[in-house]
Amino acid sequence: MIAADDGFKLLKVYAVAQRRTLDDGRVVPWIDENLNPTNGDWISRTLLRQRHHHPTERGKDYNHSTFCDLIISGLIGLRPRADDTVEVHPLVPADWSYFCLDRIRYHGRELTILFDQSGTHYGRGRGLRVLADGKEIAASKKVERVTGRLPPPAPAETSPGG
Amino acid sequence: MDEFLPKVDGAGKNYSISCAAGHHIYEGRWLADPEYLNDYGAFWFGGGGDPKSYSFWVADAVWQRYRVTGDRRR
Repeated sequence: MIAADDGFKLLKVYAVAQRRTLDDGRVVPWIDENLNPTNGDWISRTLLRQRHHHPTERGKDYNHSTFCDLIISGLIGLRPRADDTVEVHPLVPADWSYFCLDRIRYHGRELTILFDQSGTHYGRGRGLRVLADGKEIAASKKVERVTGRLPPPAPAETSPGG
Repeated sequence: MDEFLPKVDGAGKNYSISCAAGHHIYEGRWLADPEYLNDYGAFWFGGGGDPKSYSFWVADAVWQRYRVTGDRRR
């Protein structure tokens, strides 16, 4: 069975895999095409060079990893829904004593998801909290799945004098 | 929002390539400013890029974007 800690281990492996070792030995963040899982080589890049194919840096701008989505919807656990229920199910490691994801635009509102074990880190009290436009809509003493309702949408902006 | 900045053989207009567009939409759905993905959708489905050059999970990606924005118009 796969548990939250397994997911976090895999996420870390995924993150550190996206690197490249430069000729001078420096290791830099890198995302390219076709990672060799055995030795970390970017296979397409190596082949382009071996074959003197141009451009040799074809894959350097790959936008493939969906890191933000994995962190927001997976690790922090904001599970997007079509209805007005906000569902948050964090999969963070059990030894994290605080975390916060702030200013997430969601269904026209701004969400904040924060956990503070001691209550002293953010000064917002202990436990897990979900805020929409600054107002609490869900809370729990521990990190677990919580749901809340979105507040009614803010009135549409009107032009000055209108 | 795209895959290639260099000129790449086999890619389409502006070196776009549809195979990863699902990833782009899944990632871009969290941008506070919806304009980038609105434009990207218009590019693929308004006669700019060729969305059939490779298959991708477009229906799922657009639906999942809606679940973040709640905006039925896009």
